[in-house]
Amino acid sequence: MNAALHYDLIIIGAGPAGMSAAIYASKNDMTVLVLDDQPAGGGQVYRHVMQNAAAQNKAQFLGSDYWSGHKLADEFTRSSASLWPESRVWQITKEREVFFSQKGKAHRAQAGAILIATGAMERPMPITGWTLPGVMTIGAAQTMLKTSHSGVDGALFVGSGPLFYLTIWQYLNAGFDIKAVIDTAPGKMSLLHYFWALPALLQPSMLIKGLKWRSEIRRKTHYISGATAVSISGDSQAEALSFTDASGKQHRLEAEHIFLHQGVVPSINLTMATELEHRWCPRQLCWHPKTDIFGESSVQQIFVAGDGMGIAGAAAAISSGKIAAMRITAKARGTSSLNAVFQMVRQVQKMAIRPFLDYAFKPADEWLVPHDENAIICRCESLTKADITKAITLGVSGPNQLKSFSRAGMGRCQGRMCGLTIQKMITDHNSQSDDKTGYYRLRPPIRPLTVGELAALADDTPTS
Amino acid sequence: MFRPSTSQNNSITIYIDDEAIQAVAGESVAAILLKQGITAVHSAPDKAARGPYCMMGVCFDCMVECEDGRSEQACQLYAEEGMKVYLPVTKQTGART
Amino acid sequence: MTPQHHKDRVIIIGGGIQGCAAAYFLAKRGQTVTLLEKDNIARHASGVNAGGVRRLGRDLAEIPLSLAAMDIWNHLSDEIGDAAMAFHPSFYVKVAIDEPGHIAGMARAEALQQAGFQHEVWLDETEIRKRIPCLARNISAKNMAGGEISGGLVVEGDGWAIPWRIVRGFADAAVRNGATITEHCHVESLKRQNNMWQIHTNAGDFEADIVVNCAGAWAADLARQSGEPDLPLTAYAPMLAVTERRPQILNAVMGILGHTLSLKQLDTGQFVIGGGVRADADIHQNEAGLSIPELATSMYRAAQLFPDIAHAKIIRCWSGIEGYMPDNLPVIGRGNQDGLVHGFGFSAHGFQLGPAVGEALADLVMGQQPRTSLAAFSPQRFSA
Repeated sequence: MNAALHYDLIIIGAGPAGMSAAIYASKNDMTVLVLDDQPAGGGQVYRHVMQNAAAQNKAQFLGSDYWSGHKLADEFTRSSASLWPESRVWQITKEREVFFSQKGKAHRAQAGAILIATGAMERPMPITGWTLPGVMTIGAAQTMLKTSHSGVDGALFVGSGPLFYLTIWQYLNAGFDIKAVIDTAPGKMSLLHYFWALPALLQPSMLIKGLKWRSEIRRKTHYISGATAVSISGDSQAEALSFTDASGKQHRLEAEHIFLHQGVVPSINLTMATELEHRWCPRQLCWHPKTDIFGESSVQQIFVAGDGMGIAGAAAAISSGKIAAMRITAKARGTSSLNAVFQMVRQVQKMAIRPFLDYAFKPADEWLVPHDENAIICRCESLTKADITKAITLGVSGPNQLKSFSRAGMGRCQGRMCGLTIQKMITDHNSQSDDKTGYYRLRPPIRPLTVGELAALADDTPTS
Repeated sequence: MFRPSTSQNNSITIYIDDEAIQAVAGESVAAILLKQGITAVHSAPDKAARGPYCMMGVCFDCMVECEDGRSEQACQLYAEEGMKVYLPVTKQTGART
Repeated sequence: MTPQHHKDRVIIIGGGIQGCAAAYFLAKRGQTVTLLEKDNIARHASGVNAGGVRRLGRDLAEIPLSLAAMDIWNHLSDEIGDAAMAFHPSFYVKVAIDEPGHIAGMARAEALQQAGFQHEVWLDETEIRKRIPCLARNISAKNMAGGEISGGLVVEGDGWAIPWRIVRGFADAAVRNGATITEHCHVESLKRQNNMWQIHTNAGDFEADIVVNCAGAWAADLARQSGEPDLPLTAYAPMLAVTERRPQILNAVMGILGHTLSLKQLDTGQFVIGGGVRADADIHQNEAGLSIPELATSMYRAAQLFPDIAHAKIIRCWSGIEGYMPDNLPVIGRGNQDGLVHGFGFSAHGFQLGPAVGEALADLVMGQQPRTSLAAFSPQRFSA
């Protein structure tokens, strides 16, 4: 293993939070290493932005929010921060060693401070048939637009939320035919929504933009709202989508490509495997790493920023990345963190719309745990709801016991696709709190690596 | 089938199940497969066909086999000239679905 | 909730394989048995080990106990029913890949024959390769000339099991025979008073004539608390890795003479790789460390035997808390005080012994002669 890769700051994730932190820290004379699994910076929200900027065909259909990320990504590329692209971090320790693999070779680096900025992932939507080829997430549809300017004609879009509307709007801009949009959000706003819409007025541009997208989608597509009881059928490939509309009428639409969405949740595999403390957020229905106001976790000198600390969007991520970098730099220097505090004030405004979005698009129970006993819950091990229920009724105190009983969570994805679902099933069955149920005990490696990659870290002299 | 809405610079050749495919350098293999109309790449333990779902490395359902025999997520594999990948589902069923 | 008061004949502390097997045998013999487990059955060493069911490579002192255990493994369904299906007999082999290993292997084969044991046999390279056709032709080695497999020690009928299922099997069978098992029940004090043991836990108070200490890595603390002399137990966390599913190439459980490695391929096609690699453990926090780079040598060894394994992806690593004795032998026997029996300190090789240990503990509790001599495992061997 190579000897000294020492950095003042190692940032994991080159999305808006990571890039923003890298720019600040490197400008303030910190040595910075940024590790990301993609070929260039951008994360998910600004994915492929550098390549798109350099391309002949400017993908204008992606919209101004996307393109606003180019300035950030460009500044990041020109900063003195060192980016190792296509790098997969598989373990970090409390002593701030970082183990990662790049192109089949494992490396070790040592950090003065670590910033985990690994962002979010789509909330799993375990409906009947969600594992059929041709069924993908809305994020996947958007990624195909960003990286390949590609889409499908005649697809169905099912779900709700800001990312849902944005992607469909981008699809319309790019000129793809949309078969139908099946919106699962309740048609009417409740009193709670109106209440939380008030602070959202601090971010009026966001509110207006969202309403604009939604009204355009209603006009330009076959749009159905208030959908429930969604299921996908097909033999070896997605063939049709069935659902019930708000009036109770049942529909069946044929399609080979179906895009699903029920919001995003923080990616917690790295933070949990590093044994940072987490708390359950009932408003966002997900786990948040516990941090102080600057983003420092329960482990000294390990920070979290961006959507990985709680879903708040790209603008808030840029801000929280900077706050963490300011604090890390100030601690390293022994100077005041006042500038970080000032940055936090601006942060508040960027998060004003969040409660409204959280309540307006909170997934209904049927999107969290399917009614259908034959729906697959653990994709990796092909376990259905019936399989999981059988194990739960034997009496489990939490997901880890369930893992032993059923194999759920033992597959490649390390619980990313089933963890939240299983947690809710146990919580509901045992009539206890989510905090009491807890989550899978996650351990490194949080990304797979080959036996050979790990073997190459052995000392040259074989031991007896 | 996924189709591009802009012209693509298909300057490199990769091989899927030994068949030559023109592709954009640096594009993910998952994106290339989808543009070829391939949505199923491997089989789950219950033998059901699976393919790309999340396109960001968290679902592990876009597994392909590299030339050296290791499995990789196609969405985390970026195309280079001459790259060879094999689809487990072809081996398992004898036909590409 | 008012503290509950229970009066039982035998109380077993610890729900690993030793405790659950003891509970089963005692209940089967009509004793009133309660097992107290501070977390869940098989939560610690018994649930996280490599699952090797082996007589091969045992310390000479352990061999009789190991052979007795194998008798039970071979008829396990008679005792625990369907859970016995989690045991997969095949064969165990430790191959020699260099001269020191070869010499050590042959010497051991000789020593065992002299001592009257027939189960462990030296086979030459041709025989080994017949049984394991996919073994590497040449053993590659860093900074050394390539080696070859010159033979190995083999035990037919050894195999592997899913540890958690076997332990649950014993626990469920114990309950079927009338035992009571209480989980999330942590012993806070253990004191002998008026010829009875008084046990105070977070879930109530218990009284027992006899206490069986199967508390694994916590057993020395428990013993000390009860008034026994100090026993030199240390807790560590052995680490293991499992790969994705791969085509079946290995039908045996393997090790290497003179080098640490535990390698097997499950019926799912996944490889389980480990062997003697330990991280730190904290028994007070229930924490088992996990440092993946330390598994590198085991990975290297596995790939030496089967080059294709180098391309298999490791999808999960884990560790668990185990108790180790300085002489690598367990503590099985009566304590200094009346009514106390110990069964702990299995130093990461107690799983296969479990069924026979459980039976022996039941014998000790009931004043019956155990099948094999337990002299080598005496708790008193540490008092000078």
